[in-house]
Amino acid sequence: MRMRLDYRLSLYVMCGVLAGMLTVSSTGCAEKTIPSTVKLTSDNGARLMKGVKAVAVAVTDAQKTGVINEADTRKVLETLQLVTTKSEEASSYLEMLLAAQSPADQSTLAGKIQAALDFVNSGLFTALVPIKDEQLKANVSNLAIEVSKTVGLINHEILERFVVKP
Amino acid sequence: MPINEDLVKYTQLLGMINGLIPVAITLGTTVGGLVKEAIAAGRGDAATVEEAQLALANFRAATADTKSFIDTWLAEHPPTA
Repeated sequence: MRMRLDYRLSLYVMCGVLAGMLTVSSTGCAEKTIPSTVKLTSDNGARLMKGVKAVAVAVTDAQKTGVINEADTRKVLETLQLVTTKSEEASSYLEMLLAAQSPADQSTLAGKIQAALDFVNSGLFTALVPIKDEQLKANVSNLAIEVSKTVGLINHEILERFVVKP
Repeated sequence: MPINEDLVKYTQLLGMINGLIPVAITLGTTVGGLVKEAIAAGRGDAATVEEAQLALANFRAATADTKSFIDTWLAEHPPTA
């Protein structure tokens, strides 16, 4: 009777240990899925900021040739300055995402990254409003559309991996 | 004083559980990491933490470069009164 009881107890203990191993294994899987997404998002983020700089360069070059006046160029660049601040914010959240362990924290940070990048996107188009020259407006709009596509790619990646669906 | 054999056995079992917990955690974390890497490799987007950090540094550098360009232009062209 005593032998049978010990055998059953040992079996329960081993099952418990195995269940614990499986739980920890799945936790290990979850925490390691971050890097590839953070890498892809960062690559796209760098591309995005190069696009914003291309817009700034195009506008300042146009100012040199008199296509746009200095006051309007200033308005454009001041808005782009806000855009870069939001991009800095997004990169800080990305860094936190790299270290975040719980799905809830990851989802919250992913939401903040999306919000910051949405500001980058809308801010970029707002920046173009003072431009009156049609040719210049068309050129920089094309650059802004490319940036917008990159924001879309980032948001899709982040959404797929981190944002918890209701 | 008589020795309670059941108590001895249960104490031994508790000792065994205590010893197995850290082993299980270590094994579990290692297995979890390896499984994830295998899945990521199969998906074609395997990236180490170092690669992610490098990409993040590039993102920061691109942002800083753009910000610097804008700040410089604005500093060189102060608003006219």
